[in-house]
Amino acid sequence: MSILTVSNVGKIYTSRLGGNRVQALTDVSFAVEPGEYVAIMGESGSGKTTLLNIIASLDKPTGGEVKIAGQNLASIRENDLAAFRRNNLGFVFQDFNLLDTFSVKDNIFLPLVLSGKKYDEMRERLTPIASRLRIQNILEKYPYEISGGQKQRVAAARALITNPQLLLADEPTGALDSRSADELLGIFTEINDFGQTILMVTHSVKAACTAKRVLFIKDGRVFHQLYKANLSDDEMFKRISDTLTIIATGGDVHE
Amino acid sequence: MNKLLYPRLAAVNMGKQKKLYIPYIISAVFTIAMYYIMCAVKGNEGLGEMRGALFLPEATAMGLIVIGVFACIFLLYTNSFLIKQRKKEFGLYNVLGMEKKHIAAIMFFETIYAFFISLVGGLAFGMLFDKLTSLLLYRLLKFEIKLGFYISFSGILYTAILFGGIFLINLIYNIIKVYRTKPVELLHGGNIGEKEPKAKIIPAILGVLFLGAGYTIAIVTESPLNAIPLFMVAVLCVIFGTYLLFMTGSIAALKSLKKNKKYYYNKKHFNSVSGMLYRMKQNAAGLANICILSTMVLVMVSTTVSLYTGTEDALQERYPKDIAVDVHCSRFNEEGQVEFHPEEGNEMDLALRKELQDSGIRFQDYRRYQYICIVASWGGTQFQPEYFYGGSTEVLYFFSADSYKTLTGKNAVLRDGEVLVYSEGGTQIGDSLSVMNKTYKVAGHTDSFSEIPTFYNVANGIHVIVVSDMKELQELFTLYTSARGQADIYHDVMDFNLTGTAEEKRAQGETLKHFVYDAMSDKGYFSFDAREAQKAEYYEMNGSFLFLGIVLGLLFLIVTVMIIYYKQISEGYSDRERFLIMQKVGMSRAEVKSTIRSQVLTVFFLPLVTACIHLAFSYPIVSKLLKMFGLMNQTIFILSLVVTAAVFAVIYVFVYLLTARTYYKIVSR
Repeated sequence: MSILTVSNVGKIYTSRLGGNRVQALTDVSFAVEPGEYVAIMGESGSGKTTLLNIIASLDKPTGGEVKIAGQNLASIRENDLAAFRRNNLGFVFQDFNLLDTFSVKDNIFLPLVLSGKKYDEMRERLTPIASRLRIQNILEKYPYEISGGQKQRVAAARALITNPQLLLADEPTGALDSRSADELLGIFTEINDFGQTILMVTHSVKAACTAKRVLFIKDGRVFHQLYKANLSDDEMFKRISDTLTIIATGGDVHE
Repeated sequence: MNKLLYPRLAAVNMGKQKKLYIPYIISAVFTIAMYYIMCAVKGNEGLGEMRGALFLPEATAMGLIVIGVFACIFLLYTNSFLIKQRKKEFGLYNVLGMEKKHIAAIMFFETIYAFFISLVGGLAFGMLFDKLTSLLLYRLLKFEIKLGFYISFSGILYTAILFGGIFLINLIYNIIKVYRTKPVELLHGGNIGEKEPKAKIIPAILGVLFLGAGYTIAIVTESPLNAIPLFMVAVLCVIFGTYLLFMTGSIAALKSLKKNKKYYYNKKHFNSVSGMLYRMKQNAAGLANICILSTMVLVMVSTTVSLYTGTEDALQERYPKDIAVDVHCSRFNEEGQVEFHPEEGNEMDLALRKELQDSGIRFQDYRRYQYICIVASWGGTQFQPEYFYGGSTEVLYFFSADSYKTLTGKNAVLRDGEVLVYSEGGTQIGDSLSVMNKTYKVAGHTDSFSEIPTFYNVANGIHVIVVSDMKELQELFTLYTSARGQADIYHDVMDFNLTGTAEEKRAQGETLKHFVYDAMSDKGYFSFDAREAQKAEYYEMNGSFLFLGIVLGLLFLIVTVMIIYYKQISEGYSDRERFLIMQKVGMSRAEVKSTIRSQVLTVFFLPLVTACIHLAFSYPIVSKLLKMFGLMNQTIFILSLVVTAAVFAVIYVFVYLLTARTYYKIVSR
């Protein structure tokens, strides 16, 4: 069974007075299987963030449906959505979204505390994740005391500690220097090898190369997709760049 | 460059920063208006000529100082808040290529605008409300004179100078602030992470000690006379204690909660404990300020209200009858010795009755009684007379059995050397009583004596001693005067009520006053009291107090409200981030809202609750202070305490709801 199924999803934004209607997504369909590592690429304004927000149940589609682990998001009551999100999804954001009021450790514990887990269990879960993400030495520090790369690894730890069905990453390398970005992408590949399903939105070609499959979105539609299969990172890089060039220059020839 | 650029930029800036500038200007307008009103009341010559206006000038002078100092502190505080919030804006200008001197120019124009808007608004407001407050004041003081519209030019001048100075200081502060910071810091000014506060044990313990000391002083102080200096000590202790406890105690307490893993890693406490910890550091001083200001408002308003409402009571207590003539029947002769002339009392009695008859003044309840009143201290075996009335002295009243009967209607059958004793506090008197080497046998104790003259109602202990006859009184007089050479300890009192209206009573009082003064012109010491004339003086004093209490209470209230408003806004901006992040991490909107709400509520009502605790502990000492001002009626004080606290709480909640709305608007935008 697919972990995520997106079927014919459309999203229309209507301006406040109802005058302007903007089609952000049109008839988007795809599925993510367990253990997959999928990147969604597209230019600014192509609708990729809208798509991610809909998958994350932070926004509602105006058409079509989204199923996560077999459950239709539209059928979940508003009050249960937060808990559903907490139990099934992990998030990594471009700007980390760590809370300054908590230490690194407590930031990671936050979703577990919200789920009412015991402290001992939290600690047990933290140990392997912290060592895999190489943050075991900064657990007692505060977010404003650590570097951007460290912050993003902490955010990843927070996303992974709930053992989510699906890890959603929104431009995770966007605010990082290239070394930190490489390190994070290495970690993504590593946890994917351990079986973690990942869906990442990015416009960095380098980030997309690490994924096993890349979806391209243009003007709110799925435009193309590439499988990495046995390609090396360099070959994948070239394929993605070529696709992006087509999108940028004569993309609509295809339509 | 266009010369008008800076003035125009400044105007645009102020428009854009409405949320910050409007409260700043409103608070400036209020303080200016209040300062002007105080100036106008003080400078109003019509008021100075009024009958009995002795206390008012002093009260207003005190008010002026307090308002001036407060305006200064308060406007500096609000300004520092304002500039902190605007660092980013100035940083942007700097980065975009504006030099610091250009930023200074913009700030200069902004200050000029803010100053003139505040000054014009404040003065207009002040003039408008000057009339209103004057009317209120006259009503409070029971003055009947109507005044026309009156503008105090000196008031305008003083106000302009004082507030011009304050705004200038603010401008200089802001310019220094901008010059001293690097553009990058300006840009990031708003969101530099704050270190987690450290728990400081020693200051926390000190805070507890200070607060404990203040409370203890307030509770154990017995003598109202000692209460005045001790009250100041207690107030200082409580202020220090409050600051220390808010700044360190709260953090220490929260830290220990955090150490308890089971408690801390719980859905209900996780957010609030860490949030409070984060907040406490930023806001401890602000919260302590709110707490102390609230306490000040409560104490000031409740005491002045109870003094004012208790005026009639105090008058009745102090002057039981409309007219009282007290003849001391003694004077110093040329050798400096005290001569006793008991006949002066008899002469006055006769003359007074005749005068009342002749002038046709209708009166009732006429009575005459004699007593000796001395201040003494217990020397271990007997009472020794003292010159001065102090914290440890007690007051002894000696009545003859006849006077006792006149006052209470009861017979005291006493043999020679026997006395009847009634005591209120002070030294316990057993079977015998020794005064100035004379020993009496105590024949009995009486349990009530409501007619004690109340001059010394604040003494440590009061003893009423009924002796067998006038001869004993005269002997005591001789004993005392030979030892102390003081002439006014003997009292031969004639008092009675008048039957007319207040107006008639006042006129009759005047007539009788002239008569008594004439009659006693070549005799010894005496005093004359007409309640109706005293009434005006009482109302003038208590009314001035109340006026001051209300105006200062209002000022402190506004300051409190403004601090709360600014706190809510700044918290709103920082909470917005948290609000969003927690939602993304898997907290529902309702959960986030309720978490923040409970935190804000705690932070908001902590100062109010603390203020009420302070108020409760202040009760014993303040009630003793009020006794000094003649307020004996505890019920009035308790009632006004409760009513003031309730009214204050209602206003506080109202302000909370109002600012909470702004807060939620910021957070959920």
